[in-house]
Amino acid sequence: VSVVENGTILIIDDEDMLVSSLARYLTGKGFKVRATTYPEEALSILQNERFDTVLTDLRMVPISGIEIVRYLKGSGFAGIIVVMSAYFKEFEKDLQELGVDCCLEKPFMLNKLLDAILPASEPSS
Amino acid sequence: MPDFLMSEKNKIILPILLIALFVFSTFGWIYRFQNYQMDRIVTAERLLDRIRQEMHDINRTIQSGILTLDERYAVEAAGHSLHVFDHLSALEKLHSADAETIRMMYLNYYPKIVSINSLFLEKRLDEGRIRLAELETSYSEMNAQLDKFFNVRVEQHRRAVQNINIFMGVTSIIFTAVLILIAALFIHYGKKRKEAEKALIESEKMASLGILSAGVAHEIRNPLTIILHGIELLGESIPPGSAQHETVSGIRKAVVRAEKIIKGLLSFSLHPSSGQERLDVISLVQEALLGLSQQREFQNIQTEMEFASDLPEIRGEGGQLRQALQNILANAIESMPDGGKLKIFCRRMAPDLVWITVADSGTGIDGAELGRVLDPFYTTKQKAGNVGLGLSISKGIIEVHGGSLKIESAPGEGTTVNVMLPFLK
Repeated sequence: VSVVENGTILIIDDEDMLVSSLARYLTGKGFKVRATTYPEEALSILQNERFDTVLTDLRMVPISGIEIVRYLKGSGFAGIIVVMSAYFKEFEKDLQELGVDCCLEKPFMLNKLLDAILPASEPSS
Repeated sequence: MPDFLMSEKNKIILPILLIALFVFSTFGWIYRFQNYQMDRIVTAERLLDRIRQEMHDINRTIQSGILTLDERYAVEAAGHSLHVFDHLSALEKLHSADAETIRMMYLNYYPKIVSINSLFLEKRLDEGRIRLAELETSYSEMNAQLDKFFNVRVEQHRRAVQNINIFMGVTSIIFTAVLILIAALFIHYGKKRKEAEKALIESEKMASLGILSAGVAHEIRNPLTIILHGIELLGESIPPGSAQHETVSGIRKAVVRAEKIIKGLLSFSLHPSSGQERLDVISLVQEALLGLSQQREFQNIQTEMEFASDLPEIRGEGGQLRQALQNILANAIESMPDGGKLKIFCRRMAPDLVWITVADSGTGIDGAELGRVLDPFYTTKQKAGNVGLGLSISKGIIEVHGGSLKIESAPGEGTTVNVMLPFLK
C-alpha cells in the first residue's frame, strides 16, 4: 500500500478519544499527524514546528480554540485552519472577525474533514 | 392604597372602574335633575290649567248670576276665587313670575266680586245685576288675556319637555356608548394581558429550553462524534454486506437520529437578530416544498397552490423560515400516506400580515391531541425516528419572527395550518 504524503497536520482537542481516532484516520489518509489534548501545549508546538493544516476544537480550557486561531493569524500562518465545535453560536462573532477556512459542526463525517483539508495538501503530494 | 389595588393588572382595571363609576353617577345625577325639572313643568302646567278652569267657572257663574239674579252664584263665584288663590300660592313655589302676573291680573277684579257678593247678600239684586254686567265685560277681557298667557306658557312647557326628552335620549345614547366602550376596553385589556402573560411564560420556557439545549448539545455532540468516527474507522475494515457491517450502519443511523434531536432542540434558542433579509414568500414556499418533493409519500399527492398577486416581502432569516414551512408541509404530507390533496394559499391580510395556509386532506387530529401538537416531543406518528419537534420548532421560528401559527383540524377532515407573518412596510 502506497502511503501518499499529504502534508503535516496538528490536531487539538481536549477529548483524547476524539483526537486518537482523528489521528488514526488522517494518518491512514497519508497525513503526518501531530496531536495534543492540551491547548496550552499546542501553542508551544506551533512555535517550534511548521504545519500545513491546523485542526482545532473551540471550547477548551485554559486556552480556547479562538485564541489558538488568533495566535496563528498573528504569527502569519499561511496553511489551512479548520475549527470544529459542537456549538458554534458562541464563537460566531470571533470566527467572523478572524476568518477560518472551514467550520465543522460535531458530529461530522470523516470524509467531510478530508474534503476540507485535501486541497491544501495537493501541491506537496 | 392597599397593595392588591396597586398590582400590575389593577393599573388598567382600577382607572377603568373609576371612570365607569364616574360615568354612572354623572348619568344618575343628570337623570334625577331632568326628572325634577320635568315634574316642575308638569305640575306648573297643571296648576295653570286649574286656574284657567276656575276663571272660566267664575265667568260662567257671573253670566248665570246676571240671568237669574240669584245670590247663590255670587257665593259660588267667591268660592272659585278662593280656589284661584290656592292654586296661585302653589304655582308661586314653582314659577313665581307666572304666579305674580296672574295675581296682579286677578287682584283688579277680586274686590269687585266681593263687593257684588255683598250686594246680593243684602238683597240689593238690581244694583248687583248692573254691577255684574259691568264686571262681565272686563272679566271676559281678563279671561282672553289669561288664555293667551296660558297658551304661550303651555307652548313653552311643551317645548321644554320635548327638549328634555331629546336631551335625555341623546345623553342615554352617549352614556350607553361610553359604557360599551368601557366594557370593550375591559375585555380588550383583559385579553391582551392574558395573551401577554401567555407569551411571557412561553418565551421564558423557550429561553430556558434554549440555554439547556446549548449545554446539552455540547455535552452530547462530543461523545456522538467519538462514536461516529469510531464506527467509520471500524467500518473500513469490515466487508460490506456482512452482519458486522449491518451493526455498524445501525449505530451510524442511531447517531444521526440523536443528532436530529439535538438540532431540533437547538432551534429553540433562535434569535431573530441573526441574518435578517428581505424574503419573497412565494419562493420561500416553493423552496420548502422542493425540499420534500423527493419523499416517497409526495408522489401520490395532488398539490394546489394559490398566491395572491399583491404579496409583499417579509423580513427574516430565510433558512429558519424555510425550515419552519418545510416542517409544516412535511407533517401535511405524512398525514396522507395513501395520497390526497395538499393546498397552499398565500394571502395578504390587513393590516400588516401575510397568511400562508397549508391544508391537507389527511387523517386529521382530534380535539384532545390538537392542544398538544405544538408541544415539543409530542408526536402522533408511530414510526421510529420521529422525535415530535417539527411543529414546535416551526412555531418557535415563526414567533421569533413576530408571527403566529394556528392549527385547525378534525378527525377525517384533514388539517389546516395558518401561518401569519408580519410583512415589510
